[in-house]
Amino acid sequence: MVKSSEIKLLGTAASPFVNRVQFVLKLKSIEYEYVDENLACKSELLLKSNPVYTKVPVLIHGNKPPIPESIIIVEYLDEIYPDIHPMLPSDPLDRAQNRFWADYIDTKYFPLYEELRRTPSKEGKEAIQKQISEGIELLEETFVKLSNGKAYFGGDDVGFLDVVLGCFLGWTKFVEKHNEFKILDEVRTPKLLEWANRIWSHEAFKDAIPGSETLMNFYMMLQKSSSSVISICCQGEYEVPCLHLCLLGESYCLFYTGNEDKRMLQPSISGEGNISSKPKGRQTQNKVGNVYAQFMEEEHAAAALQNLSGRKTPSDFKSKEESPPTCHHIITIAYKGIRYSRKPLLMELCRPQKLLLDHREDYMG
Amino acid sequence: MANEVKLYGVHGSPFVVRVKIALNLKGIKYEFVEEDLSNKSADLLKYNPVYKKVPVLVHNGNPVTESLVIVEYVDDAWKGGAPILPRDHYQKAQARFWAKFVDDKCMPALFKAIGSHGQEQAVAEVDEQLQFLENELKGSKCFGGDNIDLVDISATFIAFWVGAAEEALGIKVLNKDKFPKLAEWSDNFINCQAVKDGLPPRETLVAFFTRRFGKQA
Repeated sequence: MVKSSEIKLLGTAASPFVNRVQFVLKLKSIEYEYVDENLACKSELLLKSNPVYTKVPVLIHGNKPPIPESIIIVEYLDEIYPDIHPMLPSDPLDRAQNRFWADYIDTKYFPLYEELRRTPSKEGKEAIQKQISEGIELLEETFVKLSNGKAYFGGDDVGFLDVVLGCFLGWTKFVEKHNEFKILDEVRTPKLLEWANRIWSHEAFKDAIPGSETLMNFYMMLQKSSSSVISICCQGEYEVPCLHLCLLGESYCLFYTGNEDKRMLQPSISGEGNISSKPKGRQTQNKVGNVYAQFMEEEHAAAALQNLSGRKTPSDFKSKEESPPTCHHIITIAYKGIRYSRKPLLMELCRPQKLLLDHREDYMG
Repeated sequence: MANEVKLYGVHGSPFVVRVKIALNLKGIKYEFVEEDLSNKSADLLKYNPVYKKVPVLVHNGNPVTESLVIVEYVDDAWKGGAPILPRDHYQKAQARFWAKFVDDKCMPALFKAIGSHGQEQAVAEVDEQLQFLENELKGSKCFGGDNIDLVDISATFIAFWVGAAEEALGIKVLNKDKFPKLAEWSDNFINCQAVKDGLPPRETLVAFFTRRFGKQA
């Protein structure tokens, strides 16, 4: 048993990529410290450990710099503890085959689940479901070839591809239920269906695969955050004040670009918000702004928006237009974006402005 | 047992050249089978039914596909010669990470910058990704320290193709002032014998980029 102080895993319960690493740690009987991350508000440790992708999982072994990317972590664990439950086969050709299929599963197959979630139309969803079916049938063929009549991809016991594909079983079940279509079934994928049942009841997996409630919460968070809204009145025009309202995970962020001293702005923004010029968390594309407020509650964001509405910009700033748009106007533009967010309070707030939207050309310039 | 090694590909593909470099580093003799991508051979379709792409390495009749998977395979299957992946497990993990980073982040950003004729925002994205690589080089000759490793090989496109595209289209994608270490690395890398032997002639690449992306006169 490896000491728990040596290995730390940063992760989140609903991530299958994190689960993948957890299975391997369990199979190899490695003790570790688990650090739960809130993906809507990533910790300093995570941002420092994985500056390139800022994603989980990340493995920290002793005082070595961190290792991100689940497949790379799994291969690393397999190499440093080769004698306990080896994951990859020993033959180079078999290893190449395993790596190939791991890449297929991660880059071609699993992303279809996310695409399905993001596709609103019925025809769109059906087209993706068809791709998922084709993908899983290809994996059925692969399973038959690689397992060679045995119980797992790895043979008599769980191997590399078993954890690579097995970690997606929770989400697979979820997608099946949520979309009312079968991915694994007795007719098209009989062997994989039997394999899945074995994985569900395997010692190392049953505690680590998250339950449907965890997945549902995560799914709802994704649904909310994908309606993130950016609205810029004057893109790239730093001298003109702009308000950007966006949803970052579960929080609302107000980015304000302007020449005003942020201390002057503070009273206008609800006391619940944090004003910071160093925003935390994953940034949207439009990361301009010298004042940034993050609100966890919709009504606080709405109050801030309301307070800023109608304020005239200070006379000492310069603009290319003769009369720069006021915050009032800017919020009107923001309305268009807010409409997509379907946030009731914000929509209510911006409703009177909707009429102005029809006359955008008058003040957009 | 006779070691029969065939590489299916096209000379101008940076992914195919990755494999050539790996084979050259290990001193492996192979037969190159030139493919016409608009009319793929039955063999290619047989050996890579999932993606139908090049490169495909066929070793004693067994196919291996996906360039980085092939490079690791070459390192795995031929133990002699300088290792392509570091032997230290931790450094190996790091090498795999950066090679994957080149594929996932750098290549798409570079394609976009080239395809858009050096458009400002696209080049800014390239800069963001290349900065990570610049920082990785620290003081060393290659990403692998003294010897070429998986990361160097994965970044072949940056060392050779980008320059050809810049010349063909009159654009600037890799800013040598911003990335002096990468620029130096590129010059050294393309002059290594194993790499030189695998690269296509520069004029061919320049002509390709002109044909493919050049503005109409």
